[in-house]
Amino acid sequence: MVIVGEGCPEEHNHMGCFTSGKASAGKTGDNWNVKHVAFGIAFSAVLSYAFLVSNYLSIENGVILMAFNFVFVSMTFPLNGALATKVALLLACEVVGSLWTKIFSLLAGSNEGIASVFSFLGPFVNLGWMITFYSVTLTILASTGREG
Amino acid sequence: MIVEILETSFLALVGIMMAYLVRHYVFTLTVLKNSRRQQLASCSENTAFKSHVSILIPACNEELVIGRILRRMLELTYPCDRLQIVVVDDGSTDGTGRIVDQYAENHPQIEVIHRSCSEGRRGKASALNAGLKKANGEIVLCFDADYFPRRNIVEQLVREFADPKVGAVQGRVTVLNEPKNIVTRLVALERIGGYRVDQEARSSLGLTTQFGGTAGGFRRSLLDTLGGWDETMLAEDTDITFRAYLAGHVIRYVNEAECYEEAVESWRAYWRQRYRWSRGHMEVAFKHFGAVLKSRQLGTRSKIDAFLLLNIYFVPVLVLLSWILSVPLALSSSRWLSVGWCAVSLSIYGFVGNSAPFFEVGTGAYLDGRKRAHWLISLLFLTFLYNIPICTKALADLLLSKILHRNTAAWCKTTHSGDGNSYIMN
Repeated sequence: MVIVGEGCPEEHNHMGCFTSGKASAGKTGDNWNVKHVAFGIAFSAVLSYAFLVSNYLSIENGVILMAFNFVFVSMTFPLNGALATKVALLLACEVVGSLWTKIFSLLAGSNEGIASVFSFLGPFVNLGWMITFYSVTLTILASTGREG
Repeated sequence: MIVEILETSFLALVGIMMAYLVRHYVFTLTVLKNSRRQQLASCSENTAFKSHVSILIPACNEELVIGRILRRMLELTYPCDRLQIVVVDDGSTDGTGRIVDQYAENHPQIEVIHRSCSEGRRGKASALNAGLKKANGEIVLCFDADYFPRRNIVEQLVREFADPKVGAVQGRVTVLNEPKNIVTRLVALERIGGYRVDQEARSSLGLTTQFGGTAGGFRRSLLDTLGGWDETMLAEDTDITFRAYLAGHVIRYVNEAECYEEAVESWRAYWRQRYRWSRGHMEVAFKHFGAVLKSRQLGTRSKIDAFLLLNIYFVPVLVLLSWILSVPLALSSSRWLSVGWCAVSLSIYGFVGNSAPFFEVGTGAYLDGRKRAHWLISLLFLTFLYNIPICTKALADLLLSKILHRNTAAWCKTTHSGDGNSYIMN
């Protein structure tokens, strides 16, 4: 008996297509790359510091970016995949994040009404890029990491 | 003065959200670091542990799915002579009783309890207690009628009982009908975060692993000590989880003991199911709040985790409150608003469904070997928004019923279409 469908991972085991059998047997234990995490945290700290001292972003936006960097690095850098890919994704994350927050802070600065609306909807404005970028990163790492 | 009060309240709410964020961050890191490996190694020594097992299957109008699980029960690899399957036909008016009788006639290990509409239909806890009276195993497992377990699930669950501290076990629940539509896909993501990461981390860290009501079970002696399931509770599974912990027992999660379920397929069904979960969970919080804090059985870490788990369904209501508070703060240009929202931005996804933040769901999907599911993580935002009115209404109704001393909660059973059969190929 086999379970079919998109929800089903690509490999079938003797029990049919169950998820954890494959996951726990094959993947766990290989998912903690300390060197990559250490490098990622150091690298993101340098980038965040550069953003803060350059006055390109406000303190609040800089803190949001730093916090997301920390979560992003600690959740994606331990996974399988080349360090160069992860660093490239982190750099892309910085660019997208800083541009996104800059555009919205410029819009908010143009009018008090818009500023109030943005401060009310702030979490969703930030989540827009954070979650999307995290999703894209995982998709890339899931493909390249396993192929490698 | 008013602005200061609002600011303090807002920051307190943000503090609570941050506590949950940190909790789930630690869970995700724990699973990534895979402290489970050691546990697995120790468990492998206990594969010879084979007690007599009773499996309870409560069923009310489940003619579309009952045949599937009974067929699966006959395919289990656990020795037949140590297995008893008790189906509680809980006042069904469709063909459930007839189907179960046919199976029972041909297979002596299947036993049936027929309850009429008047004696049955009092909720799952009542049906389970009825089944428990007939159960003669040292271990009692429970499965919902719409579930479809692995063939070796019983061995995988039962071997944990070789450890005398273990009073209950919980297997993994995955969605069978995931490709059906967007609702089933999002529920599948919630399940990934909730089981693959959340439950596994809690079990690995020795915190409060939750018995999910199905795909798991108890030591018979523990059930006897506790007096079975509390029939007055809507969330009888969460209630018995806390009663087991307060009695000094441990619940262990077994990720490999996997079981498919038919998830709700519409937003309306999602609302009904989550309303029942949230209201039931809140009832349990009111019931066990004091006992958890005073408990001598639970250590400090377990108490903190149990406290956070108990209050998880209040959090969407707190999110709503913080949002409402943010309006006057935004108008008064409060300096704390933007700082608070920085924290909320990252933690807001922590209150979706089984309380699985985006990184928890993503990590779970990655560990499961999923490649495309990550794209839908952003859409969990929909269930997050949907859970706010669900939990708020559940809390309002619960408070109202407490004030009026009137229990208005009826056990609203989730209906199953049986469409999950199309995802199983013989």
